[in-house]
Amino acid sequence: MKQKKLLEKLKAFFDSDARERNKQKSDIKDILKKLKKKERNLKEKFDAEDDVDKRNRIQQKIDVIYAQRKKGIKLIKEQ
Amino acid sequence: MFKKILLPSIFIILAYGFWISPDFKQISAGVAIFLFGMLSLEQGFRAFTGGALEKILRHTTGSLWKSLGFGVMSTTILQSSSLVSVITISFLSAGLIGLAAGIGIIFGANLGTTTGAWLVAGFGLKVKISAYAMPMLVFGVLLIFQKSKALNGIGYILAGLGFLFLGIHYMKEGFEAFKDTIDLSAFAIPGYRGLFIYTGIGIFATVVMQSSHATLVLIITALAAQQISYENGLALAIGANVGTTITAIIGSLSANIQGKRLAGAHMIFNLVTGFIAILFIHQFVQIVDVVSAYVGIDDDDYTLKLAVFHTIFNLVGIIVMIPFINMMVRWLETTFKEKESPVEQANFLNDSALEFADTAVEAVRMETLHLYDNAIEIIANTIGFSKSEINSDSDLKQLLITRKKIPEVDVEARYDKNIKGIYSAIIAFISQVRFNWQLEQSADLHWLRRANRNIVEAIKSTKHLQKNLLTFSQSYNQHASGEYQNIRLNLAILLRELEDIRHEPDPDIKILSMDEIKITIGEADEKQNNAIDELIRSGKVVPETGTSLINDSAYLLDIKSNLVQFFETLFVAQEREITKAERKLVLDDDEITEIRSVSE
Repeated sequence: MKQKKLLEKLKAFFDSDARERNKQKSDIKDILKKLKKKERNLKEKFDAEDDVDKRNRIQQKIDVIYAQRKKGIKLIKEQ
Repeated sequence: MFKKILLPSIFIILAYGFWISPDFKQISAGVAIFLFGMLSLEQGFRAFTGGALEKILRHTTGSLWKSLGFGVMSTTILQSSSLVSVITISFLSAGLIGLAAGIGIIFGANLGTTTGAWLVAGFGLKVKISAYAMPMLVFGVLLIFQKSKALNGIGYILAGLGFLFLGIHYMKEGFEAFKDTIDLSAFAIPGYRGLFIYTGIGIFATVVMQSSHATLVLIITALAAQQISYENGLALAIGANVGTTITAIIGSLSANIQGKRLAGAHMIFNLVTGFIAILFIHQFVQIVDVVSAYVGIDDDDYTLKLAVFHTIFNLVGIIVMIPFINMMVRWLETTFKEKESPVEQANFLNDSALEFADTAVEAVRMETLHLYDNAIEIIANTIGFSKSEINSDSDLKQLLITRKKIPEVDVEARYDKNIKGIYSAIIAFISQVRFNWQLEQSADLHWLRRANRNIVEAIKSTKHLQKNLLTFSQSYNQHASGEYQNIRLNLAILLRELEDIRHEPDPDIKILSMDEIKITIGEADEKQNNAIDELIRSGKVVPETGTSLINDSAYLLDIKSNLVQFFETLFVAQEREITKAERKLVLDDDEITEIRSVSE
């Protein structure tokens, strides 16, 4: 078992494509976390806002972040 | 202070003069019409500059003699040494001719301007020139109404000549009538005292009228009417020559260093010439007598003799001054030094930054942000906001309501002062970097260069937008002014949002924030164009205003797109690894359309 894991690690080390993929996967995950946090902040702002125009803008921002997150999750699943 | 009271004082003196003497009024009106004719003439010749005139200038100033000849010829044709001086200054500034050639033209112009005296003395006073003036005015004004630039120019020239002649006619008439009331010749002062006093009067008259031509015409007409003595007429002519220098000095106050040097040369020439003329006045009178006798001018024809004198003393001035031209150039160049340039300079670009690829890219990036900061200030000011207001939390809509009037910003001057120097430095810096650098840094610099171009494009569109913004934002048509207020608000909001993104605590998601901005820009543009269409359709704004609005909303879109592209480019050249992943999440056109259709 230990040997198998070690071999896999070794394979990954020499396979630059896989290494790249993993790196990107973790980067996207990182960004998704940040987007999630931003979305949460915007939702709080949305609830506190009275101006209709400003509420609409915030909502749009939330929609865009949602679409970006959806895209990111799809990309991770594909990899 | 002196400037402030000068004009009202002149007005009061003139008004008093008009009140007590109708003849004085006629003479003054003649001078006014004459000056107006000169303005019209200048305007006419301006229609031909930028093409033929400039081409000729470039080819005809190759040597000192050529430039001298050019000065004489052009001033003779244009009948305006000031127009020739202005064109010369523009060529000096553009670096097409050197200071020595410029001085040559100015010297020549001094001789050429004496043909004005000949025109009046030999031609103007012998025939009833008003007879020529009238048809010239009629044809000229008819041509001014033509659309063709050339015909329009000819129209101004003809009308200008017409007014010149008409002005001369009025001055002549005025002096003739004046003669009956007061005998000016009774005030003739003999000897050097009179010479100096009349030189002073000549200087004063030229300064007041801002034209040596007009003074000379005045002298000749007064001389023809025997209001002044011949000697005093000569002194007045000397004064007129010196006085025109003051006009040039006043004119050069706003000119660049080249203009100041040229005005300096003009002043030296005229002072020296004037000094020589006063010192050797008796010899000059003798020479004039000899020349006059040779060409067949009557002994008592003082008007023509004055024209001869004017030409000779300028000719002597040229002969005396020519050997000293190079010395003069050197002296002027050391005296009028290029001042510390007021243009804002680059802060981060220096030779040490060029040593390493990374530091060079970072220096350019920092400088680009410096440029962006300056650009934002110009754009914000143009739409009536300060940069601190954009960066604050204050309600922009509220600010807009309280500030309907927009203070005018000279975008062109601000561009020259705060953008051009830095932009040029960035471009020069990038062109210096070594080609053997890694591809990555070269690509970064390529993108940063493009980002800089985006800023410059945004400023240019701001300049175009400003024109109608200033006019229409205060329009009585509420619909039009409302749309322009929207343009202001739209742009102010974008500037604030971009600043927010720039200072976002998490740098990793900056590019992604641009997606929403792009959607908003597209929506706002569509909304505004629909609103404009509706305003035109319902007749709330005339189609002309409507098209202005359409053009200006296009400028607005251009500014916004350039600023967004700037940001996208700037962030690409930063944090390479994370942006790769970040870019994967940027929404494409279809995804953006999907969000827009949902929100609608």
